[in-house]
Amino acid sequence: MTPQDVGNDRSQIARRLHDALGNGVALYGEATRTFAIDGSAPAAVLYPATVANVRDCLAVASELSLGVVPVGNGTQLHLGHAPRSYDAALSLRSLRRVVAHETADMTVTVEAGCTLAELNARLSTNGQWLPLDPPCPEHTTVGALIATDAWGPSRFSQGKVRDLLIGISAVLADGRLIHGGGRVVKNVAGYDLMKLFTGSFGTLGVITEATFKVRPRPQVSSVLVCESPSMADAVDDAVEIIAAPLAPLYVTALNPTAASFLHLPSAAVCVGIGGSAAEVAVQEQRLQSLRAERSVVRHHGATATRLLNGLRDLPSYNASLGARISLLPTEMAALLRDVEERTQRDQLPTAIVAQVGSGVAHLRCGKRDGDAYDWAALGRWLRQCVAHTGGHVVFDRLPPDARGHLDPWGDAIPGFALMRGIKQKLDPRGILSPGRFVGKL
Amino acid sequence: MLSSRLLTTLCAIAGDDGVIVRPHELRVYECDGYTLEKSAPDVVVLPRSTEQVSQILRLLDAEGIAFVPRGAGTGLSGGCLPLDAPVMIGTSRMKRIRSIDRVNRRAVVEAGVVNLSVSNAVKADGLLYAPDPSSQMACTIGGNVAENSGGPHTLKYGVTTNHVLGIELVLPSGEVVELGGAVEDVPGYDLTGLVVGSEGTFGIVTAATLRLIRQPEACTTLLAIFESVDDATATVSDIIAAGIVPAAIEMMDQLIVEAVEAAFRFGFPTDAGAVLIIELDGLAAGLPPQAEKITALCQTRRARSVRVARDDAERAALWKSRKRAFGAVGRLAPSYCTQDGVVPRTKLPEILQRILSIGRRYDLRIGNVFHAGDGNIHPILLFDERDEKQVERVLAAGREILEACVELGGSVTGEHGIGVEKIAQMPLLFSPDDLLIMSELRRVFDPHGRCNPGKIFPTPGACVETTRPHRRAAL
Ligand SMILES: Cc1cc2nc3c(=O)[nH]c(=O)nc-3n(C[C@H](O)[C@H](O)[C@H](O)COP(=O)(O)OP(=O)(O)OC[C@H]3O[C@@H](n4cnc5c(N)ncnc54)[C@H](O)[C@@H]3O)c2cc1C
Repeated sequence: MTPQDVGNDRSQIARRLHDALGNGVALYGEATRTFAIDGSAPAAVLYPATVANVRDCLAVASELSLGVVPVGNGTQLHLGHAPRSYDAALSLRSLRRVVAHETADMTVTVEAGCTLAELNARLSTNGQWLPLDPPCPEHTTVGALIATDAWGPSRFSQGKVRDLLIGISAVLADGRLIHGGGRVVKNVAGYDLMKLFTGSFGTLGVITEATFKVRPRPQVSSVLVCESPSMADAVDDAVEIIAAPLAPLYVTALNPTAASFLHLPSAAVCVGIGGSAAEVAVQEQRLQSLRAERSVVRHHGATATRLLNGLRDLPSYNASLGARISLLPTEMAALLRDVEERTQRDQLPTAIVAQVGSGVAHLRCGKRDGDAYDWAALGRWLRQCVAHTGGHVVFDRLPPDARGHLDPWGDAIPGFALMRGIKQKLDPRGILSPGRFVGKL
Repeated sequence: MLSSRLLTTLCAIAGDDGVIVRPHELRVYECDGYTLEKSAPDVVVLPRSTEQVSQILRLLDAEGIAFVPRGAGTGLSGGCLPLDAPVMIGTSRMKRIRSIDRVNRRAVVEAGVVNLSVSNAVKADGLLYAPDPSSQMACTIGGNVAENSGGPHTLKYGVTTNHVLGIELVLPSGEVVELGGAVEDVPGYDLTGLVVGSEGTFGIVTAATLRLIRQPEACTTLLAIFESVDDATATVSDIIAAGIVPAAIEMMDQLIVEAVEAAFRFGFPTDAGAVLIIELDGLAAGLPPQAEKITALCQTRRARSVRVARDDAERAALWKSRKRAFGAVGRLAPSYCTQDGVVPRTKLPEILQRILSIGRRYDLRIGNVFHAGDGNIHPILLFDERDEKQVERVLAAGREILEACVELGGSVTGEHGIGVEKIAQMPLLFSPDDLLIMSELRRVFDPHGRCNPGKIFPTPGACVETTRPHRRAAL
């Protein structure tokens, strides 16, 4: 399809964007469906080929006040509010070079369109990795990883994007290119723009390049599965394991439904162990004796990898309602017990995956047969229970009829006035992911 | 000069004993650990609570008066030097540890709490607060948050920002905001992360929620003696490249070793070119193979000896020598200036060579004691403050060292901050647009530019050469 086909009122805009794109590509029509948010697709999907293209596109968008949503492969578009205006999705997928992997310095600089899997494949040739394990690394681009602050089970031992990102480049709404940090592992020059962009959901700028610290990959690793009678017990067990003299990579508790997806027979705690052969052996032994009276199954090699990938991907499973709960680890068992009770009473098949040490849990509630269900009421109830403990709920999947009734981010965000101030400074016309984030920023 | 009405109101808020105006008492506050520039505030206010800080800032906001926050004054970049800010707000009376949650490993502490006292408070529970600046017996959590301070063990455990989960901040308007908190993954922009390292330009941090970690099960501390600095720095690269992440790798060169030995008599050989202190920690089972590997790497680089600290007492003595090295340097010269640059770790041999030749060229003695594992160098330039000519040379040599760091792909500060000291070097790292955006972010928190003015950013239009002589007047 050519820009001319898009329709007269749009053809002018399309021509301007086409010019800005240089060697990049613009897709219209059917191809834009992949990037639909809440049912509505953008008029165009732009694939700039260079950072200069990104800058030119945004300069045009800014001038014409077009709503632009930066995307990678579009796997996380179900998060957040629908955009106020959505003229174009701007995909960084063509900018995917690993710019510099300084193996002996343990740093890597990479363009935003590179996927996590591509990056880690490259790093693994030197026995290193970027120790982030969010769902679907084959699809998650580095830009999206940063913008959505994506994480996985290993955050417990390895930290999150904020702990690993040491430099960033981004194009602002008006086309200006800015940088923060640098390429060294320790650096306090200037404000920490890496923190600002991490989890900013494409509302502040289009991330084009990032520099990370990388780590050595554990020489040996295994997964120990400890069965528990129930989810609440699994959480209690996890707390006990975290307090024990071990240094696990992750400690993830599963309810029976989540466990069944991984072909495990009951609620369980999955403990990731990694390090040198000696470190792994001693931890396995300690864990076995800690749980002497209960079953512990050790997985290694390919089965361990399969299990870990399952744990990693569970939170991305489709669901009618998906929630990410954060609260203090000690509050988790009681809350999740209530959640299980309620969802069982309401006959909602619900998978729960809890990263107990970090105090975060994913909830995936499935469909209910037959009669209509009041999802908004469930959401409000959940949010209230969690707020009661001082925690937060973010809904990452909402059924269409609940969308108007539940704010995915929650209301009353502390420090919101400052956030709005920042958005206004960096994107005064509100063209980047407009309305997508907290408080419809 | 401040009006007596204002002073009276400050006394009403903070109490008479919380307001300092006598010139000889104010002298303590005329500089921090960066002594090349001095300027005393008109008044120092020492509030006792967040509420008092809020009242003070409301008052100053109404009167349009600028202020500067101060913790323990151990900063090394002139961060709490009052520049066009008549009021200094000190946190020395906000020392309460508000709560400790041992199971969830969190502590909420006020800004004036001394770094080491956090770890001391949770020691018996097997916990610790990881960031351990060498100044940890004096510096405050508020200062650490402002500078995003590091320390020897941040090689493995990360710097302040990796351990601060939430911040209570009083904005220059007097409004109190709670950012982040004990629970992780708070929705919205990571303002906690933005405030850490903002060098006291966003408001007064009154409290912070800190992450505590478990004390390691075991640790092994090695002391490796090298004939040359080159061999020592090359060994650092070798260790990192071998995929070992020690808890700490610190280096001291001959000049520093001599000073430290004279002060603490640990038993360092004063004829060695350099020493490395390498600490491994974690599960006991993992340490011996790593220690062996490191020993082998040291030997490949011709180490004269590598020895393991016998016991806790010897380990403590070793760390005391390292952490008090700056102080020991006081024996070598009347004044010293500690620089703070970063290079990629593989560039350590090169930057140390460059420092050596810069020292020769400017006829200055320069010692090196630093966080080698992170590539974070601390050349210490020795001089006599009373000699104008030497001061000039120190400033020029410092600038050249930092330029060399940037040339090698590094940064002009790894942990001490820009403050007033390195404003002129900011354009080496950042474009005018970068600096503009950062200044605009500052305006979001402090629309009138009254919180710690004159720090971090070059004033648009004003070139450095014209600001220097004005500053030097304050020496
Ligand atoms: C011997 C020695 C060794 C050192 N070793 C290290 C080291 O290993 N690693 C390291 O990183 N640093 C080190 N430093 C530097 C210094 O100790 C740190 O920067 C420290 O964090 C400063 O804390 P402070 O309480 O002294 O802050 P101050 O010096 O009082 O202030 C520092 C900055 O923080 C601001 N500030 C202070 N309190 C607040 C607050 N409550 N709210 C907002 N802003 C505030 C001030 O305005 C100023 O800009 C060392 C210094 C010395 C003298």
